[in-house]
Amino acid sequence: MRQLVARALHPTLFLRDQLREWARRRQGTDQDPVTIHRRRTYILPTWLGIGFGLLIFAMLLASMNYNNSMGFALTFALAGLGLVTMHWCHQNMTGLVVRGIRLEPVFAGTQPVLEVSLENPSNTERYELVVACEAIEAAPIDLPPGDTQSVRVKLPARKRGHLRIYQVGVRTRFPFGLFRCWIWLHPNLTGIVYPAVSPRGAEPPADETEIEGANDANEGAEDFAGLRNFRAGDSPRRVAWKAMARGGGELLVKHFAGADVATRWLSWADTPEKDVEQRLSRLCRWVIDAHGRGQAYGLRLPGTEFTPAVGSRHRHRCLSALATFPETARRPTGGQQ
Amino acid sequence: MITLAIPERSTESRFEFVRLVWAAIALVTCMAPHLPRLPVWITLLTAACIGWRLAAALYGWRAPSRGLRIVLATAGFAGVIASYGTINGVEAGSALLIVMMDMKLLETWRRRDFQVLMFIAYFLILSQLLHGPELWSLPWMVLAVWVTTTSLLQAVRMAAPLPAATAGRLVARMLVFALPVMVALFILFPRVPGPFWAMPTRSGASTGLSEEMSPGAIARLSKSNKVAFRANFEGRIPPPAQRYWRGPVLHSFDGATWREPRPAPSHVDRLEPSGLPVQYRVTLEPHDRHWLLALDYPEFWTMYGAYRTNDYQLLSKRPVDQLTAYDVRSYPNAQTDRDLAPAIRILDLRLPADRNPATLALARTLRSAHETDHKLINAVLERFRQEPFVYTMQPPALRGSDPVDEFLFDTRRGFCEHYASAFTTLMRAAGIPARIVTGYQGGELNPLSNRLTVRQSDAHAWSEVWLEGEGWIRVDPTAAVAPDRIELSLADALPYGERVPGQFLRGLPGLQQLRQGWDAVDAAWNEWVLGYGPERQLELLRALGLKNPDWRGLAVILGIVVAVALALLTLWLAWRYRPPKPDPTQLLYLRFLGRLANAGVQRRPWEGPIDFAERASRDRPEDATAIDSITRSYVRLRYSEEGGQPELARLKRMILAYRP
Repeated sequence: MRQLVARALHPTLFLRDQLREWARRRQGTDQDPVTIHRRRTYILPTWLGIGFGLLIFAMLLASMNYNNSMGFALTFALAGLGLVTMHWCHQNMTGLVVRGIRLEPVFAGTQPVLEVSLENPSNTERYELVVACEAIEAAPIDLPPGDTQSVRVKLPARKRGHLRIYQVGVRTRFPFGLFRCWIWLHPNLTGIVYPAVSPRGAEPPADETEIEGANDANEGAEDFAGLRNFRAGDSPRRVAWKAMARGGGELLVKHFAGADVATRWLSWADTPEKDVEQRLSRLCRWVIDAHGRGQAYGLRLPGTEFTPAVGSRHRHRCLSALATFPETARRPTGGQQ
Repeated sequence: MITLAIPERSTESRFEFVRLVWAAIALVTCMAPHLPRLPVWITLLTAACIGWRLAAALYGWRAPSRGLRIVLATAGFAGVIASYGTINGVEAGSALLIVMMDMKLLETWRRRDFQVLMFIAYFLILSQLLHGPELWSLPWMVLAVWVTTTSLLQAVRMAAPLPAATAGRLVARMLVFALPVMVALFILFPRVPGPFWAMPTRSGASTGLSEEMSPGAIARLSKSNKVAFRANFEGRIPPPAQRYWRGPVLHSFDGATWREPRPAPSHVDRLEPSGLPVQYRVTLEPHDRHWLLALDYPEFWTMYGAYRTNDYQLLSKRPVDQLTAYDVRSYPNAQTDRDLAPAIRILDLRLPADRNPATLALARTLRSAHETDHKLINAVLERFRQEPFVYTMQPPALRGSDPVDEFLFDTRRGFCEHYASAFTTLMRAAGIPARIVTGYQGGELNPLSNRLTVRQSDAHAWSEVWLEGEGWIRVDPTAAVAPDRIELSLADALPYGERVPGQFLRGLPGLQQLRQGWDAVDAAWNEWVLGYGPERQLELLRALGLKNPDWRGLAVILGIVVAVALALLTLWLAWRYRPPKPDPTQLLYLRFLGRLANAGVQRRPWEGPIDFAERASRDRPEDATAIDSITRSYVRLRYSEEGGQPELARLKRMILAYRP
């Protein structure tokens, strides 16, 4: 709250926030992909650019004082160069395609990474493009003609919950840093921050029950059905390390076809800790471990329940539920039975 | 064994080294023309600083401590003051700038330091241009700006420096587009005349006329082949005998040396223009003094703040330390002072009584022999003509305290100043107000450009006498001794064996053409570029059809021209950054997609052609066959080696036939 007030009272920050809000209202939410139109590129001189202007002014005064034509020629050449630079900087941005803005889910305490792909659809190379989000700048990239590159911006670590990205900026100060040209993108983008993971410790109680039909929509873990390529979210237990060693480095995963899996319930009530956050962290650990072992698991939280299943989508669902769990939950005495 | 191994360096320090090399190249380029003028210690200091900095980057040395830098900077500052006596003015200023640059170089480690260094380099270019705007300085300026700007580009880059060719080409392209803006600004930017604050003039002793004249002074000056000024006539060009360019007028005489009077002559004069005027434009090389050369007698001139003195000199408000152009209208037959002001009469009759006694005696004799002033003057000139006087560039030195006596009765060999001095002394002694006028006589007419080029070797001195009822009359005693000096040139008037500088070159026929061609180029450069000022600007606007051009008109035209230039740049940039032309397969497929989109099936950004075809077939089962075969044909053309021209034709047929 105090930070908010300080921000509102700070003249430049306040002005910048107002400008951003105005740009947001003006442009609306962006669909994917965005081709940068010249109407949404903004450009202003940098401090170096203002210094360059003063340099030209000083040269103009000197040339006038000495009434020296060559001095005028140099002054005006530099002035012309400055104007050309402004257009060049603007064009370096215009026509750029920004696509695939996404946020990978992360655990609280680690840094969320914003991923943005920049595509240069032109015949000419573009230089020094910088992606920025929440005052964090990524390393600048050069884009050869027709090339697409992905840029990762490491945002500061957060508490668990939803992570809303209001604005992503792309900037350039090419060629001489005299002008800064930038765009603001307003993607409809919400990431998620899972709770922090507890260290290994208390295991969930071993009340394993057989539940029929508890399986991933696509795959079971019963009968070996062959090998397929690794996909994000696959349990490392299923990776066919031997096959990989034979097959020349490609990550292969054992593919099973089957129905019944041993399942286990991970329940809020079973956690040894009593604090809400610590309980969530513990559950988080259990979910990860169960997923890592390739087990089917269900999650019981006060008010919600996820029936046992396997797979990365299930894992994400469970962890998201933990992430968005209300901070001040009613204390259920024995969990949900 | 000791080996000088270049250590392994990190990527970042390699980048820094590249940036440094660029900065060093830029600084050396900008500094090079300053070098001949600089004291040796500054050159050595600069070389040491550049060398140390490069080695520091190579071997990872640390920056010198703050204390050492302060000591060095103070020593450098003191050195500049010791060498120049000031830090003001172009020369001392450039020296100080270079010393500052050296100091900055020692502490250049961050990106911002490099930027500051490049800004200093731009100023070095400016100070060189202020010092000497010769023709070669234009290509040098372009080169220096190009190198410095490329260096700036490398300095501000956050990632790895660009390859030299890429960076150089980029900057060259930008400069090409900056050129029209520069030309427009140069021609149209309102030029405000005059200096805003007094600046000390250049300390370098430039060749030219002087405020005083002692025997041998003009002869020394005549050895220089440098251009003094050029004149471009409108209409008639006066004959050689009328080409007397008036410079400083000398009144005070101490028996050997003639000087300008102090205080300087006032503005008040009485000139009655009569006869045919001569209209011309003078492009005067800088000589660091006040006088503006003009033909006798200037009546109108276009030069801000210039004025005419009561002895008909044209003076500028501040020393002429830049190439200066001005238009003058002169009336060669104008009537000068009908009555002589008493103060001037006293000034122009004064002679030191105890010097040159033989000359004074001769004057008294002549005075009693001739009753009119005219007869007296003719008698003196006749004496120069009849007696064995020799006109020579190498007169014997006059060492005694009575140099006029020595010349008139003993050596009888002299250059124009000897004759003018002797004649004026005789006149004054005879009671006729007289004075010495120095300036230039003659000049070489370039048939290619129709311009008169006047060199230092055309420097001359003559006399002016005041006669009752006639005013001031020019008398050139040299003409009596060596008429060819006036009618032809110095070379023609000198005795056999004496040479004027450059005379040998002038004699070669082919070289003569070449020399005059170059002279014409140089003159045009002087007149149109260096001499371009407020007057020229208004002239040009009038020629463009503007009735009453003023700065508002200039601003409007300037705005339009710059806007057009930048609009062209924008168009060119948009063309350069255009997307490549899609191949025919892609174009056909896009058309197909457009038709489907019109029918309500839009391809999503993440859908590949096959996925999209599946969905489209589901949405429009009636078109499933067509969609399927088109997609398969497209995929074959685009992603496999098969296909070729017949397949493309088939795809085209199918897509043209497909109407959902």
